[in-house]
This record gives sequence, structure tokens and C-alpha cells, in this order.
Amino acid sequence: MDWLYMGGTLLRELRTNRVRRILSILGVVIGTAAVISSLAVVEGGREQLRLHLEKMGINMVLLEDRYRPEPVRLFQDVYETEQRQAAAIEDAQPDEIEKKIILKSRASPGAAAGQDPSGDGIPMPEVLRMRDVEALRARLPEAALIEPVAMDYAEVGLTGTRPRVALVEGGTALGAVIRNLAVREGRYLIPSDTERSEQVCVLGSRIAEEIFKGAPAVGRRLSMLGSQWRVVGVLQPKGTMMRFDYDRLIQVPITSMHERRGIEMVSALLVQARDNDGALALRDRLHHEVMARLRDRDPEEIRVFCQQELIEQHATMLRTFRILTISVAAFSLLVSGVGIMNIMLVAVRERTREIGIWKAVGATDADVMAHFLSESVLTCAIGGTLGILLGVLLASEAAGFVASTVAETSGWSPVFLPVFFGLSLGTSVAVGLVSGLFPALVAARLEPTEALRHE
Amino acid sequence: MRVELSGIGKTYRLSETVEVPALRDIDLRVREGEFVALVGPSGCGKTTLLSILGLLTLPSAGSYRLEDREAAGFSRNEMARCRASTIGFIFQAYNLLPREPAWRNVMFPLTFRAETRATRRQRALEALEAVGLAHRANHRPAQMSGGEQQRVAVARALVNRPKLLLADEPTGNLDSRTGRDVLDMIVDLAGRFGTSVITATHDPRVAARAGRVVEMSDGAIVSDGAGT
Ligand SMILES: Nc1ncnc2c1ncn2[C@@H]1O[C@H](COP(=O)(O)OP(=O)(O)OP(=O)(O)O)[C@@H](O)[C@H]1O
Ligand SMILES: [Mg+2]
Repeated sequence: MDWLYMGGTLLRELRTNRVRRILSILGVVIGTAAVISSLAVVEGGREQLRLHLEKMGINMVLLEDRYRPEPVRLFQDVYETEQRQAAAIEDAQPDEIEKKIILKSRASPGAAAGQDPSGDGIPMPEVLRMRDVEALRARLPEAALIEPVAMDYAEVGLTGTRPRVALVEGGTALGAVIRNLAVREGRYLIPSDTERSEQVCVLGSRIAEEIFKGAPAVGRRLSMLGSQWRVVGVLQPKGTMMRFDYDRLIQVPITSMHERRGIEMVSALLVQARDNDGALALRDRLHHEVMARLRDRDPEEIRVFCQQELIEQHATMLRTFRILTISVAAFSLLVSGVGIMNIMLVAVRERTREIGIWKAVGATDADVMAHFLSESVLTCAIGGTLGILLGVLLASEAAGFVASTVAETSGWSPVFLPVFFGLSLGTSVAVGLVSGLFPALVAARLEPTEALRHE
Repeated sequence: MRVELSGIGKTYRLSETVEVPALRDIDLRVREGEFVALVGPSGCGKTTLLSILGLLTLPSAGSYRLEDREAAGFSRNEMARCRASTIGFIFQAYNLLPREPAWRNVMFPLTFRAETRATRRQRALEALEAVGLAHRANHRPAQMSGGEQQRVAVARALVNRPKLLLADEPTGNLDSRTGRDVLDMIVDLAGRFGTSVITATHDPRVAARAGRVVEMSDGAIVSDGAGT
């Protein structure tokens, strides 16, 4: 068998029935694109999870009090809108943000007047206080570390410039240990900061850049929460963990925040279990202990998560996505497989006489079969190649889509392992083989005299 | 190549009820290097007989021995291999590949053989030259006259130096001169390589050149003897 020669005639055959061939290829293109982007997105998700675990460890438990005093709620809204405007944050119009604050202020006059935190006259519910944290430390020996956190959103800026809304976290020196935070310049919070309620702050790398535009930040003063704060350190870039963007976070001593706000409220607890296996049990114990202290609170408002759950949630999400893409791929590949089989049957009918001639001069069934199979495989492989290109282009979009619809992360970059290209091209080749098999068999089984008689 | 048919019958089934008996109880022995002409009126079964001899279709009954092997029991693969290596067939209707130039048509039987591309091409061009069509090597069948196409078909049948050459009206579309040339080539080949030649013909001159004329009528052999 002269393969080079057969290859040449193959290319010529591909030009026959062109419109129909292109139409039937479309399904292969879509199917292959779905296969490769699914593989890359899932792999990217795994990679993201791996990085995440590297950052935080599997033994973390987070307790969050969903109650927000009115002023916090107000700014949270603005902050989250701003966050959703994602990367374009630098271009976000301060005017617009201000407008939103004003609108929101009008809607809730209590907040605008800066009244009592409970705002609308409803008394503030029981919340965790610093002494509760001490008590929890004593009652939960399986917790290696317990870090109290107070979350707040505040307008932050240099004096004389337009302020921006940022997430401010009140914490202690433990905050760096428990989350593996490292400073790039200056220092992190130290125990004496909390003890003496110092007005100092540590900035995330991006927010420092945004406020100081590259100038050294350590030693400068920021105004927020109605007073001046000295910058003592800037964090190394860290990214997002447990849904907080550490690069845009401002950290202050929790005691100082409580003082400035006039409310002593611990809004979250970061807890590290002594061992990985204990995290799930600790989560339940922690919730139980906290609820025992906040008897009048709705248990739904006090949320606990652990990394373990996050991992499972992540896995479920990836599985859902995979099922979705596999269905898309399977459906389009099936449809196009039928289309290609149809085209190949037409080709066999059109070339029946030629097949007869081939056989009369010595082509075996296998030769004829190989020729038609190669034709359908080649047709599909062209579609597969186009599909891979499309899939590579679409994968980041897909990752973003999955992230925004199913998960609460900002998305991730797809990861393309070399084997994925092989797998997806292999899929299209397989479609070619399967859909070409029957027509090729029909061609191969033709009897020479019958084929020669065909008009 | 020695050929031996005994009791060969072929019935075409057109439907459940309609059967066309094309050949009945054919006995025929052809020795190596023998040149046999099959004659008979149109529709008497010459093409059908050649198709069976050429392993293009299976007989409905009887035995067909090629040398010492029972060809009726060949697998499809063995039949194909045998067609490629030992049989040359010249069709009544030329049966050239319409989209290929002459030289590729001639080379086609060689594509199933293990030879270098250069050799194959070389042999194809030589065969074309032998039928006087070297200058038409790059023409497609549609660009050639009926006679030229016939000669391309002859070249294709001869290109793999077959041991058994089956020709269905090889001179039917040729003028007497080229007809004689083609016939000369066939006779020459038979003489040189011990090729057995069986040709169906209406042409008395072909029959005259044949060492032996077999006359058929209505699917059966009615006379078998030396040519006149
Ligand atoms: N595939 C077929 N199906 C049905 N009948 C067939 C088929 N092929 C041939 N026949 C019939 O078999 C008989 C013999 O046909 P064949 O082609 O062998 O005749 P022939 O001697 O070659 O005639 P000609 O000299 O016209 O070429 C004819 O009656 C023909 O109609
Ligand atoms: Mg005939």
C-alpha cells in the first residue's frame, strides 16, 4: 500500500461535499473544544486548590458572625460592588462610589446620621467579645490557635485625597502565624499593639500600591475610621484565601478598632486545629461553644466553615462542571458522528465504481477500508484541531463562568497539560473511527463486479 | 499459468423469483502460455466467464483451479492478492479512474506492491510507452479518445507482468493498426513470460491470432478447438 499516494488522494476527497463536511465538522469542533476546556478548567481548579492549601493548610476552621452593624453593612455594599468590578478597580470612579454612598445614606437615614450602631433603634444582639475568645481558648484544647477578627469597611485615604472604601480587619499578632502572612516591608502587628490599642496598620500589597503609588508606605499616616493611623508594614502579595483578598486588606489591632468604632464585636474567629483530622470535629465543637455563649442568636447567623468543606465544595463544583461539559461534548460529538457517517456513506456511493476498479486491480478489503477510515478520521481530526484552538481560547472564559456561577472565587486560569491535547485530538479521531467504520465496511465488502456495474 | 474450470455455473438472482442463468456447466483447461479466444453472440456469458477467471466474482457452482490451488475457496484477501500479483484484466468498458492521469491509472496495480515509488513510476511510464501513449501520460481519461483509453487499460493490465491476462474485447475500440499493435503486445507477453491469455472478442482477426478458439452460446461452450 502506497500511503503517500493514498494521502494525496485523501486530501482531494476532503474537498468533495465541502459544505456538508464543514457542517458535520462543527459538532466535532464544539465537542473537542468542550473536552479540552473542561480538562484545562478542572486542572486549573485543582491547581488553585493546591495553591490554596499550600497557603492555609487543611486544618483551618473559620467562624463567621453574619450580623453587621449598620455602618458596616453600608460600606460592605459599596465595597462588594467595587470588588465585582474586578480588575478595573484602578479606574473605578470615586465619584460614582460616593454617589452610591449618598444614595444608600438617604435610603437609611440612621446610618447617615452615624447614630448608635444598632441604627434603626433595634437593640444590638449579643455578639462575641474579647473575653469570650479567652474563654473559648480554655474550653477548646483541640484548637492550637484562635485568632479573633473584627471586620469593617471604611473609607480610607491620605489626608487631602479622595478616600476609597476598603476592608479593614482588626486582629492580633497571631493573624500572621495562622495564615502564613509575611511582610514585605516593616513589620506585622505585635502583641503590644493590641495591648495598648495602638493606631497602627498593616497594608495589603495592592492597596498600599493604590494609596501610595509606589512610594514607601511604612511610617506614613492614613486616615480612616475618623482618625489617623500609622502604617507599620506592608504584606507580601498573598491573593485570595477563604474569600478574602489579602492584597486589598488593611489590618489594624482589633482593640484599636473596637475603640474607634465604639462597639466591641468579634465578627470572625480563625481557628487552627491541632491536627488535620480534627478539623471537622472542631468545627462542630466551635459552633456549639459559641452558640452556648450567644444564646439569643439565630444559629444560622453564626457560620462555621473548614478548609475540608471548602475542598469538598470545590470538588463538587468541578464535578458539576465536568458533567456539564461531558454532556455538551457527548451530544455534539454524537450529532456530528451521525453527520460524518452520512457523508461517508454518500462518498462510498459516489465512488462505488472507483472502489470496483481498485479492487479489480488488487486492492484488498483492508486497503479500501483503510482509505475510507482515514478519510473520516482526517475529517474529524481537522475538526478536532479547530476545536482545540477554540477550547484554548474559551477555557479562561469557562473558568471565570464556573467560578462566578458555582463557586464564590474570582476564577482561575486553566492549566493545559500536554496530555490534554492528545486526549482531545484522540477524542475527535475516535469519533472519526467510529462514524467511519460502517461506511468503510460497506465499501470494503463490495464485490468488484457489482461495484464496476454501478453507475 | 495453468487454469482449470470444471462444472462452473453462474446464476444471477434478480429477485426471489427471477434468476438469470449466465453460465452453465463450463469445463475449460488452459495451459501455460496458451492464447485462447472466447467468441459467441452478445449476452452468451463471455464477460461473466472472464470475471470468474479474474476472481472478480465467485461462481455459483463448480471448481476453479489456478495452478494447483482451488481458487473457488480463496478468501477475499487471497483473491485480492492474486488479482494484484498474477492477473491482468482489460475491461470492455476500460474502467479507468476518471480523476487520475494516465500514468497513475497504469501505476495503480503496483501501489499494492512493495516497490519503491520511483520503480513503480518508471514501470508505469514504460508500460505507457509500450502502448504508444508516453506523450499522454499526464492526461486524464476524459481528455483521451476511446482508443487511447483502451490502450491505457491495456498498459495497466500488463504493468505487473501478469501470469494470466484476461481481456474483454481488447481491440473493440481500436482501428485495425493499433488493434494489431495491441494484439502483438499481448502475444509477445504471452510468449515471453508464459502468460496465459484468454480474450473475449467479436473480432475475427483476434480469433485468427489465437491458438485456440472457444465458442460459447447461451452460457455454455459449444465448440473448443484450434483457430482457423
Ligand atoms: N449483474 C448481472 N445481473 C443480472 N444479469 C446479468 C448480470 N451480468 C450479466 N448478466 C446477464 O448474464 C448474461 C451474460 O452476460 P455477459 O455480460 O457475460 O455477456 P457477454 O457475452 O459478455 O456479452 P457482450 O458480448 O455483449 O459483452 C446476459 O444475459 C446478461 O444479461
Ligand atoms: Mg461482455
